Amino acid sequence: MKKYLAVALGILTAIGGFVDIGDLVTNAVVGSRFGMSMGLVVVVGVLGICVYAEMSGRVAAVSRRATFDLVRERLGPRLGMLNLTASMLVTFLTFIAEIGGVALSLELVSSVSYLLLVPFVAFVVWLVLWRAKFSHMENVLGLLGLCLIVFSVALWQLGPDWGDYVSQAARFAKPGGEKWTTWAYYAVALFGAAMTPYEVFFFSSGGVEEKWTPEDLGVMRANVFIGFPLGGLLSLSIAGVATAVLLPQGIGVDSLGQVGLPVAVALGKIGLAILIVGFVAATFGAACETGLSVGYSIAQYFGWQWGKYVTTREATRFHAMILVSTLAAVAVLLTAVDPILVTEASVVFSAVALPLTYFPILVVANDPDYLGEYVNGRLANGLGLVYLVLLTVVAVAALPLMVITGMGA
Amino acid sequence: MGRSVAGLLVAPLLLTTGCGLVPARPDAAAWRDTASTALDDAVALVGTASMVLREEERQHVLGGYGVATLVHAEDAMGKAVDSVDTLQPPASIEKEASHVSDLLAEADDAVQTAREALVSGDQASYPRLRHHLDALHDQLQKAGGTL
Repeated sequence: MKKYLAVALGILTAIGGFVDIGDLVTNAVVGSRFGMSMGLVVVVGVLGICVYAEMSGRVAAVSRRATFDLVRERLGPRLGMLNLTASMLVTFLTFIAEIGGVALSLELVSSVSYLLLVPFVAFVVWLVLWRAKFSHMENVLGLLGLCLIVFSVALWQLGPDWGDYVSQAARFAKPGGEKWTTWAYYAVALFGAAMTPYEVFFFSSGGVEEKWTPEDLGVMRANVFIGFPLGGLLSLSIAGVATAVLLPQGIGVDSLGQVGLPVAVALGKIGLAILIVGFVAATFGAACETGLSVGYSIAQYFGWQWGKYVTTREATRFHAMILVSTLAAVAVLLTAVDPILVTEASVVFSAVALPLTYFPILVVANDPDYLGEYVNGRLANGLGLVYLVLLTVVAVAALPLMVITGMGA
Repeated sequence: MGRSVAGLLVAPLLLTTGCGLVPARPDAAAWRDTASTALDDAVALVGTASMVLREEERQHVLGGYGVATLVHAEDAMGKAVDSVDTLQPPASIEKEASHVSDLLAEADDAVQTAREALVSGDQASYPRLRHHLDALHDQLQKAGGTL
């Protein structure tokens, strides 16, 4: 019974923790401009994150060591440093976006400018990362993140033409006024949002924090193969409500308030209240995950003691890194840079860094020295290779598309 | 020595007088690109303001949500107006440019008025404001389509 509860809790937190500010904004922007024509991009992105999260979770459970810990050892310091630099910069950018996202979410209920809320939010994030238990943090925020299911309820309530939605997704039916380059730019952004690098770092480091063993592989796979796709359905629901309500009015999304308007239209005050709880939980949870991931990646690369499963005194450099990155994130946000713009940039740069993040995982997951009998099978390797090619194409195309389209303008 | 100092003082002065501030002067196609983006943004923001007022009338919006959304819309509207007003349009499209500029200014005012009405809780004015916003929405879409 206890095991079933653990599986259920893991799946629920995986769903609730799947969506972050990047998913919220990018899916809403895409739905409001391109309808459901990028539905398949989300599906491909979710399958990709499942493939690689399973690998990195397996590595953590069998070797009892996290991804970066092994990347440097297996691939050497130079490639390890390249991997660290690319992934860490993108994760830090995402961390900034998430803190900004929490502040924007709180602004929607408090009417206090998000700039005034940023230091307060960052302090609470740091306090949670310093003091809260890993499992409490993950479970509470993951479960509260389930409030975002209100997007799916709103979509059902709006009652769109489901056949038309499926047809748009299947035909990549781009609206006539949009260019294909712009469509491709947002497809890259959506893919980057679904496969954000921090998700695998956090997943594998979290496995070490929670002391996974090969016996936990079943629970881990249930989290990945049930929780993540259901989280992906939330992403599609965000795009779905934007398609139903915002697209017909020509309302392109450039603020978090606009993302929630379709829920207000469909469900009124109660729906909106639940949504705001979901916004705060999803962005706060992701801020904690990205903050930890910055600390994880640096500490694991340099071989420092890390994690919340040891006392703060034992992992002082790890916690110092988290503190420094939190302060740096506040400094960036207080320049009044638009957090939504940071979010859009972070998902595109995520796409650029994807091969550097995922290639080492594929290598380590094939190494019998670390994984013994649990090395990748044919299916995992086949899918891993297909995705690696796709990730490389996406990474090469991301920056030129960003320049050509003027960030999708 | 005195000449050198005088030279150092005069040279930057001469340089800066030759670099007066002038607005960017795009050609007609580049101006239309910028104007088209600004009009698209204005359509989105005027539509947002109308939707917020409608949902406020239906009592579907919580406390500060509508105000926060419209504050962002007002800010973005100001940027859209600036993006066009800071350009010097070519003489050949002066009339068209003036029409777009006037429409954007009207949209800016309308979003601001909607935000003010929301802050003051003047619910009686919502239907009138919404009617105006919806009419503007159509005009902005039409203007964007003819560029």
